[in-house]
Amino acid sequence: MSNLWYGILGFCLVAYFVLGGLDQGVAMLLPALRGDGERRAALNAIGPMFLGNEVWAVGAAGVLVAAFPRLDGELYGAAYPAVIVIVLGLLALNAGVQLRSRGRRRAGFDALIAASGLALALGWGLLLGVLLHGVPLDAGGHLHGFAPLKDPQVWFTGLANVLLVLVHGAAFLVWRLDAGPARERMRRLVARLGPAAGGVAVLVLGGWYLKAPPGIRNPVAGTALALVIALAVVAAGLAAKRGGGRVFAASAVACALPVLAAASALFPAVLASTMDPGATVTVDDAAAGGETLRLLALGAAPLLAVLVAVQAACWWLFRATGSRRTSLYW
Amino acid sequence: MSALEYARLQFGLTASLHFLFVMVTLGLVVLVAVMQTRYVVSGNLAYGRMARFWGLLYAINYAVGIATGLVMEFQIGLNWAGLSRLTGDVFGAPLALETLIAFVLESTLLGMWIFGWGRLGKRLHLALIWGVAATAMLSAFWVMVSNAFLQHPVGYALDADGIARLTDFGALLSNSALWFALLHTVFAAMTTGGILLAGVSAWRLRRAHRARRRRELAPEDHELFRRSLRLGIRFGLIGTFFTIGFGYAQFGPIGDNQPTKLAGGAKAVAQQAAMVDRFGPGDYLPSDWVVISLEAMTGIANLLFLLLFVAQVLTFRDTLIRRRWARPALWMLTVLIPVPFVTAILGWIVREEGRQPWAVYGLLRTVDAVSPMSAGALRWSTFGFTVAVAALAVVDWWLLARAAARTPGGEFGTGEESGETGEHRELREALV
Ligand code: HDD
Ligand code: HEM
Ligand code: HEM
Repeated sequence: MSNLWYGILGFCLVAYFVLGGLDQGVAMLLPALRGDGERRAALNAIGPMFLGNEVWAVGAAGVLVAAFPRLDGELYGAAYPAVIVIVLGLLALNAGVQLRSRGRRRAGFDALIAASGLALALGWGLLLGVLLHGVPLDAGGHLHGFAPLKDPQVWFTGLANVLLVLVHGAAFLVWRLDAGPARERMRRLVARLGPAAGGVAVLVLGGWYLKAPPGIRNPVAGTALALVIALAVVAAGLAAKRGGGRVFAASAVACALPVLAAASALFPAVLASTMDPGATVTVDDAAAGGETLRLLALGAAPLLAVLVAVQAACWWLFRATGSRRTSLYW
Repeated sequence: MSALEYARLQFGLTASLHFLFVMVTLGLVVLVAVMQTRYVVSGNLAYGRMARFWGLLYAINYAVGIATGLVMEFQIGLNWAGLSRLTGDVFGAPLALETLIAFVLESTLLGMWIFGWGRLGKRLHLALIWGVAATAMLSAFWVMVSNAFLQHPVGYALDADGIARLTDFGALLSNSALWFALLHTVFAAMTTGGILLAGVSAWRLRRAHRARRRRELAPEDHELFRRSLRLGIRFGLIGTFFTIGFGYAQFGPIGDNQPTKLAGGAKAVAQQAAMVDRFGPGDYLPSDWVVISLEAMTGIANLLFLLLFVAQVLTFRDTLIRRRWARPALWMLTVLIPVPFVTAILGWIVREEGRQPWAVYGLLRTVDAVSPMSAGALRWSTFGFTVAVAALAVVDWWLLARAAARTPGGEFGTGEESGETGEHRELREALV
């Protein structure tokens, strides 16, 4: 039962990295778009999906609190500054996007939106880096400081995630924007940034080999997935000239895999201790009681299927690309 | 003040502010769904414009309200660690279900509704707003399930460590502290939505009459607010009727579940003695504010019903709008807008303060539920969170007021840049 719920948690996080990553990417690209017209076109291209994309973070937090009560406190504790940045980023991004067109000062909101997109992409990348690095947890369950956040390798991991997310956002715009200068700029961006991001991903992988954190249990699985990330993002760059949905599919794969790469490198551990191998928290240690998990499975799992169906329907219903008949709510 | 007092003050202030958003959300979503249904069924464009005009207010309130809910969730974990540790398995599960199912689905559907105007089929688009309304109700349901457990804990067993484990989910759902309270709350939100609709419409109509030239309403806008006024008054009247009904219905279960809550005089002395026998020495009576708030709530409710009844009578042949002598009734409806909010907060004071000194009635005292934190730290977090949530409430009401004052049309970007929409034009031609 606990592994099933770990899988569901992973599913929510993967969905968030792909869909929320899309929002973050477009948000970060706002400064690269010229004038209110281009920016509105970009924001309204994600419009129908935006709320649905963002809620996966809330869903993942809900699963974490309900099904893994032990993990919740310790993970938040070990990466407290990064978690605060993520929460503030989520609030600022959502408020900024919803309110930018309700008032008159759009430029200020655009800066806020771009900054929060950057903060989120970096914050989530740092969180993955902290997991890979391991946390200073002692046998009594107490945490000692934020050592992982002082390690440059963790920051490189965060940076790699920022690059992946940027490519992802630009790839989405290449696919969904009307033909025009904005789309051409995005196309060039993907073509240039894709291979660069692939290179950085490989370097980060090498960095983790040099570092060899004690918590890694399955280096082969982690390495294989990391290499697929690099390949996918390079492929997005190469496909940029032809455009269409293919670029976006490649960048989506690249954004989906970091969560899986980190989780499978550590499995069955979740939080590896850098102080005492005995203090490492595994999936079973972290899970809630059996009865609560069963209740959640009965109550939530079927509706998770409904949710996936509704979101799929959303993408299908709003599949028409370009701005024709697009609402300009934002 | 002690740490406990700060933690309680903080929860009371932030929850009350959160609830202001909730009432608007729950009340408006049903109204918007009703308007849109009439639009789709009758094809009357006036109802389509109404659904868009009020739908914009709904969307703004929802977007700003989310942050206040997150503060609530954060706070339960942070300040009430004892509650989560000892009873979290039971009362945490419904709260988690709320976010997982209701909120996540609700937001997805709402995003599709906002961007679906003019893009999706009319019936599908209508189904979306009803889906949003249903998931909003589901949200309220799960939150009230977990609140009802605090009022009257059922469906659990204490394990060897004294931790409450869930044993009977059905008992949680058939809790006698749940259903009347849920219905009372939902109808209170309907009342709020109805009065908001009527009050804003009355304001727009009155302004148009007072300064004929400056703030003239176009004929189709006059029609929009005329119909909104009638719908709002009717909705508010029906809502108040059922709110009062389910309010009185609660007295039975409360007497059985929480004998100390509303007891007064000699009965209170007897209850105090009985509780001391059962649980040992201590003060088991809640403060006088409970009874004062209850009396204020019932008093206001009766007055509200009376006033709305008069307004309903005056909607006959639109007397309210047409006759000069009836104009003060329009003014009164606008003044009534804040009243349901105040009344609802009073109701929560009855329910939550009346639960004292228990966090979970008869099971966990509030003193044992609060996190071991210093009064100093809690003073700052009380200040910080309350200011943040209050600022959100101010921003929300400022944006709502602006949205309520704007000229209807082009709400969801349908033709915002290019002037009037096709429907707008069609409607004007039909009217002129
Ligand atoms: C528009 C708002 C509104 C109005 C007009 C009323 N109430 Fe109310 N009342 C609420 C809004 C509310 C509420 C906010 O919805 C509460 C708080 C908790 C709850 O379940 O509902 C509530 C709670 C509440 C409680 C406490 C329940 C408990 O402690 O478990 C009682 C006894 C009543 N109400 C009784 C009444 C009566 C007898 C009314 C009319 C004569 C009345 N209320 C009108
Ligand atoms: C799931 C729903 C809710 C839960 C779990 C909850 C829980 C709590 C807790 C833990 C406290 C502090 C400790 C205590 O007094 O026992 C509290 C107090 C309070 N709550 Fe709630 N509450 C809920 C809903 C609400 C709502 C929606 C409101 C108001 C709009 C509200 C109003 C208050 C007030 C006014 C207090 C302070 C009462 C006092 O003096 O202790 N509550 N509630
Ligand atoms: C005091 C405990 C409470 C907590 C911890 C809490 C939690 C939350 C959270 C996290 C949100 C934002 C996400 C969402 O929309 O669901 C939210 C919004 C909402 N909550 Fe609460 N809530 C509480 C009390 C209540 C009560 C008592 C009700 C209704 C009876 C309620 C109904 C709603 C509704 C309808 C929304 C959406 C409103 C909006 O965004 O404007 N909540 N709540």
